[in-house]
Amino acid sequence: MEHKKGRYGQYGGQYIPETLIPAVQEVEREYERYKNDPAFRAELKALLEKYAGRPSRLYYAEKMTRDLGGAKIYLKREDLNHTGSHKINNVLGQVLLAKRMGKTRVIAETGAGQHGVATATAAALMGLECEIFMGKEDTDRQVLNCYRMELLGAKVHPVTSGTMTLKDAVNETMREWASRMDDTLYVLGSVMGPHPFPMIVRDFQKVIGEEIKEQLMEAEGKLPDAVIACVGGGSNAMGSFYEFIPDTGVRLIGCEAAGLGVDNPKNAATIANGSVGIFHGMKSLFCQDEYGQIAPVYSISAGLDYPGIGPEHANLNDIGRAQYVPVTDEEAVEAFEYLSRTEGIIPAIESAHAVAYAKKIAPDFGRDQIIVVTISGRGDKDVAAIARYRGVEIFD
Amino acid sequence: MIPKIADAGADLIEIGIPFSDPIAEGVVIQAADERALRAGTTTDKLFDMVKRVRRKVDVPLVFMTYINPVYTYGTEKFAKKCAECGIDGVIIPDVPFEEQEEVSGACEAEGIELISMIAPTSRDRVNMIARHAKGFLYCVSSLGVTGVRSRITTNIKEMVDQVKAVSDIRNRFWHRNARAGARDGSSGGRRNCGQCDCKTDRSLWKGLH
Repeated sequence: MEHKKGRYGQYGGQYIPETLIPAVQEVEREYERYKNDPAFRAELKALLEKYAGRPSRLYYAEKMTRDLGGAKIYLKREDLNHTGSHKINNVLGQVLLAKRMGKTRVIAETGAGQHGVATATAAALMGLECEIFMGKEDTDRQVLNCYRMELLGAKVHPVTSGTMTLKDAVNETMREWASRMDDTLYVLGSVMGPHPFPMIVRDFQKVIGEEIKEQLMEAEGKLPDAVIACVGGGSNAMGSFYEFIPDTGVRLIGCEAAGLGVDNPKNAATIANGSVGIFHGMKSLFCQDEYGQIAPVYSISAGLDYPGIGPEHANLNDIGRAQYVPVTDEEAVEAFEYLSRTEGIIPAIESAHAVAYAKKIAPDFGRDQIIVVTISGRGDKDVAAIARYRGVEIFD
Repeated sequence: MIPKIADAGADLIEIGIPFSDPIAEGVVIQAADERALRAGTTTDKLFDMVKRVRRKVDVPLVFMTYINPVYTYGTEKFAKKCAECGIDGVIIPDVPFEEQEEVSGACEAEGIELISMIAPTSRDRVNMIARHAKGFLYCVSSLGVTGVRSRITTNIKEMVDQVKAVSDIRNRFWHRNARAGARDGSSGGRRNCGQCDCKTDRSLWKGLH
């Protein structure tokens, strides 16, 4: 037996059909080859700076700070990246890798459409064919993002199996990859799936935390007291947390989607309600029943509407290095409106989960303490859904 | 239905434990999984069913399912139940060779064969997998998911020849004689096949004679 790779405590692994094993092993090999390759690093750095707009701003939210009367609040503005979310960080890395590997086609799953749009964008830029799998429920919720992907030259496949949301989109993308891998790379969108994806996606996203540290050092001369980010699969949270893991004085807080509440079956709070299982290539925590059937989860946010969590998060939770808290639809919508009015920043409904928790705990912090909230994406895509939530019918 | 399939000459019968998200399946089996779950099928109900059926059939019976239903049930408990109700092996497509340790210990302890798979993409992995394979080797004939296709492009003969060159798996096929088990009152009624000179109780599977 080969030495176990890609493990985070008891979590992680490579639980996928034999057909796909050579494909993930190829990704692993090629990633190891290129990750420290100076030419690859330089090309990626240039793309991140000149195309995606990095570094993203670390913005001192003065009005919010004053209003909450506690910790100083800084917002890490991933919403200002090209394509409007943190997803572009990972996608530029993976699509560049695909190109180096000689692949001519990329496929990806998407929930809210942010990862799909980012993948379609990078594929357009680098001249690769692109196909996106998206739950039918989500293609209905995110009509604009679907059209956006098509504008970028991608083909969007609405997925009608299972619950027709993100997990089913992942299933379908894996099925597609198993049928065609010679010329195709599966560009996974979060820190999940079989090894090496949780590691690769984290490596491409850790720039968020590295920048936070550097920018805050410059602005305040010290580390933050807490870093808060929303968690679905967990890529923006892992990207925000990773640099701070050795800095044990920095609290790391992930905000899960609690939908209608953790006691209501309509939620997607994996750490709060899940148990250990093995699914989508990884051992991790999942919302499931006593027989291991994956639960149909719910959140107002299509991007957090996922029954699992990345294996590294599950481990950070086990060892107590990060804390995960549930945030309901109602709290997230309130925070969405609050940040819009207070700071003139409309966050993605996903990111609004993190804003909601920051609002809740900031008053308990001292005025000399600092909370950094990662705004993983912008909220344009959510405006129609929030209007509907508030009983206003507008059509997007 | 299972006795009828056995009477019609099946060498081995695969019984699916439905899973909510069968990633290796095409639309037909996906729909079957969904129907079964909607109708209230559970792992425990299937164990009860197999126990009843086992009295009537003597062909090898194997479960085909995904790792999560097995892991969540408790791997040891699952293997024990399999042995109790007369299951001979398990096929778990999302447990590749490198992750077999997850279940192999529990399976070995209960005498349940964990079936290995090779795929058209396996190439230089075939030797390693075939050499360690137990029960029989499941050769996946095509890329993609289960289901009908107009043609199979894989060179299956080449695949099988490659296996035969490194493995005597054919001579390690087994069969179960349930009637023998019923006679002596034990649930694990394995015995020599009586049709060849094989010495172990994991005798040649009669379908191959």
